[in-house]
Amino acid sequence: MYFADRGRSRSSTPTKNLLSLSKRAWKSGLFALLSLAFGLAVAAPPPANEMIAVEVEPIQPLPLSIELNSEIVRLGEKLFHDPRLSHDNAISCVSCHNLAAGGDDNLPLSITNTGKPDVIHAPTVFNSGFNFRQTWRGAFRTLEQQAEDALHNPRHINMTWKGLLPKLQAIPDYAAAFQRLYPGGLNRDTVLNAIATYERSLITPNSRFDKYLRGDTAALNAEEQRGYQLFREYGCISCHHGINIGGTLFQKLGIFSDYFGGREITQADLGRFNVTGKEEDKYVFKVPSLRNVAVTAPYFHDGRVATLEGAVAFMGRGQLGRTLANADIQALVRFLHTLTGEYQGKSLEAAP
Amino acid sequence: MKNFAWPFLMVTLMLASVTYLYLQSAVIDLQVHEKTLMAIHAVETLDVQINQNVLGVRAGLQRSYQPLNQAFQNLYAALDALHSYEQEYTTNKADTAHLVQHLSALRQTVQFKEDALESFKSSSATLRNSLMYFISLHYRLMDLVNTNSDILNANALPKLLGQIGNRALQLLQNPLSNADTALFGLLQSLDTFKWTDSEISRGLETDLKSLVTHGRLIVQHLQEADALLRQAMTLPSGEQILALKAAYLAYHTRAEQRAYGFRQMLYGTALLLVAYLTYLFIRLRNNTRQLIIANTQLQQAKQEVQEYASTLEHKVTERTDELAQANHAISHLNACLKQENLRMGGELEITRRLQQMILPRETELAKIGELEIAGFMEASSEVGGDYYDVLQHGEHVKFGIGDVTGHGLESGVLMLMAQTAVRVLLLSEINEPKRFLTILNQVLYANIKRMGVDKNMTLVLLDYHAGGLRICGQHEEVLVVRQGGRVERLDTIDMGFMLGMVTDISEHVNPLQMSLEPGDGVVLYTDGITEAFNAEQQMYGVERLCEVVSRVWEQPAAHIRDAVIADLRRHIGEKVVLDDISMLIVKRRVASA
Repeated sequence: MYFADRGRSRSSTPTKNLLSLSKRAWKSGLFALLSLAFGLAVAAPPPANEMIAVEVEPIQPLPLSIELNSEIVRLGEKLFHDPRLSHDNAISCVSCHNLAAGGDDNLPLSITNTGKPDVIHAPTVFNSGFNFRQTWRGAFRTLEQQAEDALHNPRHINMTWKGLLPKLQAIPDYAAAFQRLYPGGLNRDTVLNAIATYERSLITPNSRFDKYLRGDTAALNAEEQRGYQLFREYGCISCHHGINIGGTLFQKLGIFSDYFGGREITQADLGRFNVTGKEEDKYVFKVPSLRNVAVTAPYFHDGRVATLEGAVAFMGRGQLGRTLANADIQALVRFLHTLTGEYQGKSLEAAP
Repeated sequence: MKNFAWPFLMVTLMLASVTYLYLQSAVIDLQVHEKTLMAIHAVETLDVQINQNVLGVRAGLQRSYQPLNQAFQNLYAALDALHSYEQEYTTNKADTAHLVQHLSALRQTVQFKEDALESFKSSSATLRNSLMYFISLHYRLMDLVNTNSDILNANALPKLLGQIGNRALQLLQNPLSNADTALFGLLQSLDTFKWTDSEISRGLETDLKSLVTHGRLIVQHLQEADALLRQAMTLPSGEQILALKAAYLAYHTRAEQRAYGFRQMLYGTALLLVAYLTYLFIRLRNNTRQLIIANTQLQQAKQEVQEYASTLEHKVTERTDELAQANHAISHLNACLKQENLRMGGELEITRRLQQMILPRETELAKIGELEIAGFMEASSEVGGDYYDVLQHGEHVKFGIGDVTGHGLESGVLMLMAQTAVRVLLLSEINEPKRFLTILNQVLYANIKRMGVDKNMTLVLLDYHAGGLRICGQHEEVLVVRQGGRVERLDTIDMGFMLGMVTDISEHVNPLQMSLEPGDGVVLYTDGITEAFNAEQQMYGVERLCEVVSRVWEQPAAHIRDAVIADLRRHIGEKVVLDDISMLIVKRRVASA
């Protein structure tokens, strides 16, 4: 598994890391020399074929493309959109992760297959392959594990392998495609791999901010640049960093002020505590990616904050301990709007 | 089929051994070994990478957690890989269990490390957040204070802010110093600072409160983050990786040694197999060669048979002719044989009659008062040339016994001649035995030459006169029996020579002179008696003859003769008598009788 496709797109063996490091050392001069002097570990994972203007920038642009088996991606896409995966042919992955709506459903809580609302807000599927864990509470290390949970979850697809595999096998297109693409044919692992591979292909490069990071300073106007300045100054970037501008650590929601405002605490509100059972992990969530944040309202794990302004204002109160000035909120929101990327050449949009 | 069972079994057994040994010697999959080493190496490298990343984060050189996350993800993948290779280590259950133990201990440590570092990441992010904000606030406040002379000169705030900045720097530079206590005290002072109206009017209050809050957070999170960092860095992951590596290498060495042993055995068995196959091959080749030879012979035979078959009719005709001719010849021969038989039967009858005719009569013998004489002759089926005679001439008694070689008419005629010549010589007063025998030889020699036959004759002649006995001539032994039965065996080889072989035998004739007292006697015989065989192919022999004669010697001569003949018949039994049997017993009467 170690040398298999999990590491292929983003990482590589240690040797390869060193090689690419020395390659960059030629290209990026002083910074690379500095980073070598401070230790090899400083090196970020290599976005292979792209130039990065500033090495120590905490945020990296998304790659323009990812090398994946296009046939498996197509097969995964079909599964992702196919309601036949559910036991009553009612819902599919795309029911809650609508690609036309920013990769989520723009609802505070999705409607489950029983007709009741879900317990937690559906995050976007876009760029999820770059998150260090999946789901708000970080229960899964891989997209495969998350997909399997979603398939079994009674609130989601609600299907068993015993039910699903014969069902898919009976569909000639699926049986043939799996037979062609995998030596093992259609089975648990290959179904999950196909879906996860498709999800990994769902990236939204070419946001204006990524262009800015690549050296196009005109991509952001003055107000947006001031927003990024504030983003760093207020320390937002200490959690929202990396290639996905988030998705690299867990953090407590509401360090300075209570997020819940006295409302009844649900189990979902306990966050990572539900995984680890540790007291200090209560109200701790995975720091979400801010990419496409402008088109994935509403916000936070319960979807209770409807606007980006509201979300930024709470972050000021909750994580920084102060009420942000309106002008600052506006600048930050303007900056956050530059994080909207493109999928299949078109800029992402929120649901109408 | 039975011949093949043994080699087949041997080869199968050896092949099975070779297969087993090969499997045992190949238990170490080199690919798995290499992958294992690479995975251990990757684990080692990634652990170091994680440490480097964490230190980079703590030092502020690393602004993103992504490389750290990636290193952990790779580390888990490497551990998963190692775990999957475990299934391949089948050589030794105990060793494998040992490795599994090492691996699971390492995995647990890695999980502890990850947990500690997750907390570190959160804490460090908060610290970083506060630091950034603290610095920007501090800068803004200092700027404000410095540019407003009323604040700068009116109260202690500028000095306090300056001290806070210095202490914060000191703390960051050396987290283990007591700068934290000092900073805490200064922040406390700032928190309880009495604001002037001008400060409140400038809205400094909020910023100052934020500065206090974040300053306290910095102190708190710096300690917390460093404690977590220490916790993560002191976990024995490095040692455990080295232990795992050592355990694996030890396992591998043992497995390699074991495999080496099996390889040696494999080579041995393979050599044996090759040798055995070579042996079988050679044997097979020899067999094949022999088969080819046999086949060639068979083909030739077949060809001959075919040829024979094709010429059989001709041959049958030929053979029938030959048989007819042979039949004719046999019929002719049969007729001849019948004639010859008749002739031969006649001849034999004549010879037998001649033999019997010429023997001395009982009445003749009885006239010889001084000597008691008994003779016996029985011709064999083919009639031999035996001869004995007793002739009285004056006071002399001449008696002798002889045997012409061969059988049939010629032998009989020759015997008759010898008898006639003896009587002629006797009547001619030839008394000197040497001369007597020499002339007799000349007569017989001349006649045998004329007859053109290859025959001769042994003959011993005895001359009795007044108690003296002269013996000459070559024949069987002469038995002189003294009164009381003591037998003296006289060898006659030097007393004469075979008659009819050479012209003159005078040189060889040496007569023997001896006395014959009353009761003494002489037993003469032909080889028909001593060389008679019984059913066990044993000859009668001179010894047995002597024994019988000795035992019955006191009896009359005729009795002695009958006893010998009876004993001889017992000896011969049912066997056919092959030679003439002749015997002559001469015994000097006791005077009183």
